[in-house]
Amino acid sequence: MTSAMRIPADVHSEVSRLAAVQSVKPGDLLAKAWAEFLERHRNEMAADLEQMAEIIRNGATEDLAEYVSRNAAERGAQAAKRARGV
Amino acid sequence: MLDAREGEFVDGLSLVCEGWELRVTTRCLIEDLGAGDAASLNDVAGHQIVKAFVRERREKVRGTRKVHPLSHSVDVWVLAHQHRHRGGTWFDAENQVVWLLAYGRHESGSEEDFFPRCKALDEEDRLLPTAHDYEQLIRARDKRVVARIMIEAPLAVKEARMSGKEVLARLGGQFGVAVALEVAGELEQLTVAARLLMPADFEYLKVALAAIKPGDVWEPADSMPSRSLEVGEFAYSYLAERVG
Repeated sequence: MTSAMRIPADVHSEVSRLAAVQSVKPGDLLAKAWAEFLERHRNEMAADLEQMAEIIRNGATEDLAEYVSRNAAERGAQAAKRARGV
Repeated sequence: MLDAREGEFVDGLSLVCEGWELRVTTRCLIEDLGAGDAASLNDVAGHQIVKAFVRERREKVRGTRKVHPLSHSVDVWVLAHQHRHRGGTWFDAENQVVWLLAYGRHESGSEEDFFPRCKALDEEDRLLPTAHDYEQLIRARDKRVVARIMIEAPLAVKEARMSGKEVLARLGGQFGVAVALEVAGELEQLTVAARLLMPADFEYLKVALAAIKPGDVWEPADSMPSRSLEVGEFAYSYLAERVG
């Protein structure tokens, strides 16, 4: 099954260029990139799930939200840059 | 107090509406509306431009006339109330927020006129939401979404178990997941998939998994039981003894 996906124009252009160089479809290249991302973050994912489980066992949803927001400052800075087209 | 409709609510500087949020930037709140930095939208609900903001932008995210020219390539729409009250709003499509960026009085020829002031703020890069505005938005949104995921993710599993089909759910009103159960004898495999389109989505997926089954029991999955994964879709599954 396939579906359309909106990605930034510069990313689309770069993916298309790389796909052409490797003689593969852009979608297949993106799928491979996702799989690699997943593999690279496997340990981080496991650690996060354990941390979240610990917070849930202690019954504090607000602490869980705080944990999810641990990178809020960085995410905020990135969002502000994107708003300015940087 | 702001007059919220059914399904709407005020959360700090936001009015959360159906489909998007109306939010005031901190600079506009303090400098233009004269409120303190700890004020909420309810504290400025009586201001003429806030009333107009809620009245107009809860219905349509854009106006009919833009503030231009601006150095940033965003469409800032004029919000007008009576003869003199003017506001500038911007629909931030990525975050689904209509921001009230600036307020002033329209007095042609005056140095304090809204339009030249709005352009000056743009040139000083003080018109658009700052990193701090976004951080506050993200924290408030995470709090709301996480609380709802904790309730709604287990309900999606329950629905998948009852229907025997893949169930699509929009957790926290904004994070889409697919949930499916596969039963084999005394075992069942639960698979949860989500398309990760926004920076927060990976975190929300982890919360959904933890809400369904806490701990490092989840393994990456290559497909859903009845289909392959779409581009950008991540899936995790875990095997357990059959319930019920």
